[in-house]
Amino acid sequence: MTGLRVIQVGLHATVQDLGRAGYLGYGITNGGAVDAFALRCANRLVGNTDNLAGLEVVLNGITLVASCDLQLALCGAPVPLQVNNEPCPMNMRVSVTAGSTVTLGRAIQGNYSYLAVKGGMSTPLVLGSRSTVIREGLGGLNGEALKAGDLLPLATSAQLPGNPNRQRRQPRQVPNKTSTQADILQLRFLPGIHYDDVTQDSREDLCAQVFSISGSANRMAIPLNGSPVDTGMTKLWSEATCLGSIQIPPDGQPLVLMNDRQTMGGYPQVGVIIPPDRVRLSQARAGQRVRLEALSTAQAEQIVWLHEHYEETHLKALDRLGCPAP
Amino acid sequence: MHLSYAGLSGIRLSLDGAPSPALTADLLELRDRITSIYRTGLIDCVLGYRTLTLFFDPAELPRETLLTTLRELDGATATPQHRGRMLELPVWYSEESGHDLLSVAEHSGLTVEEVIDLHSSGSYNAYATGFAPGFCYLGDIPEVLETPRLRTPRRTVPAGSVAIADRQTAVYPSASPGGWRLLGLCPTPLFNLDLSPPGLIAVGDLVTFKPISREAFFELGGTLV
Repeated sequence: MTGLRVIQVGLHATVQDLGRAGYLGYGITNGGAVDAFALRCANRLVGNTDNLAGLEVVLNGITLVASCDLQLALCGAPVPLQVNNEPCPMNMRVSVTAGSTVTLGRAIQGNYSYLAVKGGMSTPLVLGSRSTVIREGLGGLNGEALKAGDLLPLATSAQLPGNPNRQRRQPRQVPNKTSTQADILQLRFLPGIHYDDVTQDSREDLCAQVFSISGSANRMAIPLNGSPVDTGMTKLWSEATCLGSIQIPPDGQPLVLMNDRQTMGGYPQVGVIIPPDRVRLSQARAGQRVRLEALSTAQAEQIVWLHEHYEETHLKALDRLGCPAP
Repeated sequence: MHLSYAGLSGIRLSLDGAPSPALTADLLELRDRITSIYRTGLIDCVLGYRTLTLFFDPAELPRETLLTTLRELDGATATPQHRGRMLELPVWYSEESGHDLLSVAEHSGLTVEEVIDLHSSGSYNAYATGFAPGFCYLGDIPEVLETPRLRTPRRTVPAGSVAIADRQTAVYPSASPGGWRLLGLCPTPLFNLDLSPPGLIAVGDLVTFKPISREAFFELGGTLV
């Protein structure tokens, strides 16, 4: 079988697409690329549709060997990319010959990088998605994170020899959305769910202080450290959790719920962080200072609409690079 | 009915009152009406004990449209059609298969046999699915059996474990960490990706437990880790 052989994994790498939809009611979480836009960019650069599965590589890189000729693109958190020890640019299509070693180094900034291969990873579809959710043992390669020795199967179209003439320079780099440690990252949210049920004091505590990102952030949740927020609410009847929810457990340290969150929760959720800010948060590192800011619906809609418009415009530009020239 | 935002692509509906089979039936009725009105655009409908959370694609189903429909449905659930199935699950209750059976008996001041009798004589409403794929929150167990969760959750609870916590009971569909008190093992698989839907128990179902012997447990395909 041809594919990508895993030689070494730095910290954590999984197969991800845009996630599972329609199964939250059965207790099956969304999963999917934490920085979906970065995966979509990488897919477009190699001429894939947005939802094909790629590799999500966290923080410390990965080493792979291609067992066939293939084309790949790397987007998301900036990392040094090498093919046979030769530096290659990110955010561009790269043609790789059979037997080549592809090395992603440690992320210079951010956490999540995405490697797309033309044709996509052909691990089995599970409930409509190839996304790996390790806690549930679903998707990816046997529901697990990648480890040395694994062979990642690629769709047959991935094995077509690349045309080096197609490798053109990208007019614009994917902007680096990761803020620096010195900034305070604004996390704008739409109040809701239990927002009107928690105390006025706790709503003020939430937005008046500067939190810092905990070192225990992962694909399930990103904890924020700060002065405890006392919601005045005890245990609640379990109900649905949302991607980006700000959940406040009894210790008063807010958690931002992420792609692999459990589908039900019994703690107050005071609102949902808007998608662009959620992704910025996920790409920020432990210790990064953040501040929560409540938005009106109109504000949230406007920001998200503009952001989505920007993303679509950017993706269309990448399409022109990803598709054969007329 | 109270409506609130669950992000820009989610609406959370909550009903007044304590969780009950009737409240679950009302929520199911609302869910079924909504899904029959909007066949596209709705992505996920998640039932909680007192809530129904709808996730939708705003490009296909504008939020204001959905909110208007929900407000019109308010109060229209006077006679919900309860359509929950009856499910009987076999359980091998024993100290070998349920490591907390003895401590639950001690906590409730009952004998082990009385605990088994009480737990297996009730029929339980499926309130919600979550925590793990196919995990269904069932209730309410008799007050006398009410036992707090373990102070330190177990690293691994075996698949098929029948457990209680507070006034709830459940079967763990797969091995996972857990702090509920274990009473026994159920040999029936509760979650199967090849089935549609993949979970055996659905919200609104009425579940009963039938005590079986150790031999019957293995005959029915059960395994002991």
